[in-house]
Amino acid sequence: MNRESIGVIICSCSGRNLGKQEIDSITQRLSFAESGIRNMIIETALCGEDTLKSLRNEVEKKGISSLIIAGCGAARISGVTEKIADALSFAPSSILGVPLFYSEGAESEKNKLGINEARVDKAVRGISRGMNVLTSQEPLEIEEIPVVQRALVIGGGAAGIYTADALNRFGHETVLVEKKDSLSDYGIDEKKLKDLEGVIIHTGSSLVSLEGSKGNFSACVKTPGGLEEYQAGAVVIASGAPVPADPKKYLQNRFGSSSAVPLFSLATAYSGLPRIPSLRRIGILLDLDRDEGRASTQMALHAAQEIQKPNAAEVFLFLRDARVGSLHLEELYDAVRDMGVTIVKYSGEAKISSLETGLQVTVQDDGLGVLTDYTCDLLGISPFGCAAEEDDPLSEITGVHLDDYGQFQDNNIQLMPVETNIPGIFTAGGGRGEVYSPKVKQEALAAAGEVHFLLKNKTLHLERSEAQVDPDKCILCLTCIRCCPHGAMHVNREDGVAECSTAACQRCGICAGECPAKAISLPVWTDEIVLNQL
Amino acid sequence: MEKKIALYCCENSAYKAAACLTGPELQKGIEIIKLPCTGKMEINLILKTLEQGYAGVLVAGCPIDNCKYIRGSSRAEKRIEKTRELLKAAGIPEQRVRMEFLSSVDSHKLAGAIKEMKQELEGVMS
Repeated sequence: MNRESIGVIICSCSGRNLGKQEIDSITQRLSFAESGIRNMIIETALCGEDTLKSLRNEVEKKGISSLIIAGCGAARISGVTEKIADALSFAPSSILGVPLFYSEGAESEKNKLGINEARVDKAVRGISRGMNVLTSQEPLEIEEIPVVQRALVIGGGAAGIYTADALNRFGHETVLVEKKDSLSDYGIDEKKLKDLEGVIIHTGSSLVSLEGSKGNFSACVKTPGGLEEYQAGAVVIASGAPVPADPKKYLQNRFGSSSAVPLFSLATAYSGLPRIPSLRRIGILLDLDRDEGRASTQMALHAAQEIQKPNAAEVFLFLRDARVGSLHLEELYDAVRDMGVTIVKYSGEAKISSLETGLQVTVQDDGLGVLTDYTCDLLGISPFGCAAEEDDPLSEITGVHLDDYGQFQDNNIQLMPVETNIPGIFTAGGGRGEVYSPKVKQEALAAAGEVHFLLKNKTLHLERSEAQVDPDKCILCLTCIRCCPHGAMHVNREDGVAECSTAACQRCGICAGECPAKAISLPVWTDEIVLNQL
Repeated sequence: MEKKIALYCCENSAYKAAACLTGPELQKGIEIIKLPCTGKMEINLILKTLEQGYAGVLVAGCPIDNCKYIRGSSRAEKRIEKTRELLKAAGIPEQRVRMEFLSSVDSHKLAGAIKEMKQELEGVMS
């Protein structure tokens, strides 16, 4: 890389940065040293819009092709470099942020005359290191990846329909794949189906394989008429909640009694019970295998209300925590409690044993602090609380991780709700666990928005900074393919080596760290660059 | 001169925490190195660092469940464990390599870990 085209920007912003004399001292030392720096720009408030404008002019005038930005603390510098890279349309690897840690220089000290040698030293060292890094690496190629202008939505339930509808309105070609034979099985009315005009709908179909990465997936869909191949730029998984396929049978088998029924058929089962002079004891149990949310709570409260109303039964509601975080649910909860439903908050696991007639629920009562038994003639159990019998096959086909409960959701705070571990694949609705019904539409819109954000660019301009596999060293042990969390590694069948996808790679370097043959390296994070920081 | 500790930080969490380390006694004797993710931390990088004369290597990454790259921290943990085994087998005090999990606001945890490591190293290196 041409050394003369590297520019250095030092931010003299009024935040926590250097005093004027210190900046003078740094520029002096850098220009005296054999650093080869020709372009030095001192700026105030780098993050401001006005500054960016003047910066763009200056960079163009001087013909600068890569930049070192010294300023801010470590927490902010990456945001600032990203912003500047965006404004100047620089490739990410040609801009390097050098954070200046000034914690030892208190703000009050900054305005004092005089120079803090330690701080100046650190800044000069940081900038020189940055120069080393930039000069030691070749400029990376930019790859243009065309984005296939089509979205694939898997699942035709509420979430899938809303997503497809939104994508249709955004003007993207959309393919909807649904397992069931008709969308009307979900209670979708004619009007809604009419809205979906333009969406390619395959009912009675399922996804067989999905390959490729963000912007360019190729999917194989099994339809009643045979296999269909589709290219798609993004995929939305909107499959159903991971609940037992036949909850009634599942509960009967699990507890060995027909007194355990799924919550949604509790009212029917209750009305079928023969009348007896004494009160019936009816239980409703939530949070059996996993914690549930507002949708289950709402369903349970409604069921309790319905059975309790004629005052012919004694209703117990067992839950680990009442999730009533919405105005309407809060009111419903109060109403149900006032009606006389006994609400038992328990901790730990609920034990259910079958009796001659009915069931016995043993829970650690939170309020009383003792282990308590409750006998119930009938127990309604929310199917959303039951663990899925088997993993959703979509997980294996798409490579999207499932959590401990079989839900399409990594237990990770860094992922937004509709994001998955694989870039370009999003998820909405029941597949990510039980969702409160008013939230389904929001979630679907969020997923559609993400897809729109991806598809609106006709091409992705990506730097070839993804993990590089040395074909001479690769022994195809498949370690990288197993450990890549983003599904970016795959086998190049022609050459018989592993290969990394530019679009899917997130440049984390896990594969480089794991590769037993040391065949993988990250161009912007080579061992040399890392050790250079020492 | 006192031997230093090389502090390898994930840029998403620990690097930000390291930026907030205050006080000369904490900043003295450590060298902060940025990594894209602790998942990039290779065994040979640790060994090379020790070879260069550093007293210890402290690898600091995101909490296991909250790694930006999902599995980076858990992968790194295994590798650090392996490195400690290797060092032990070679007769080098295993306390020279250590891993910490913290988020970007946990600079107090990082400070604690550095202090503790310095003390441990004083014990085994003398």
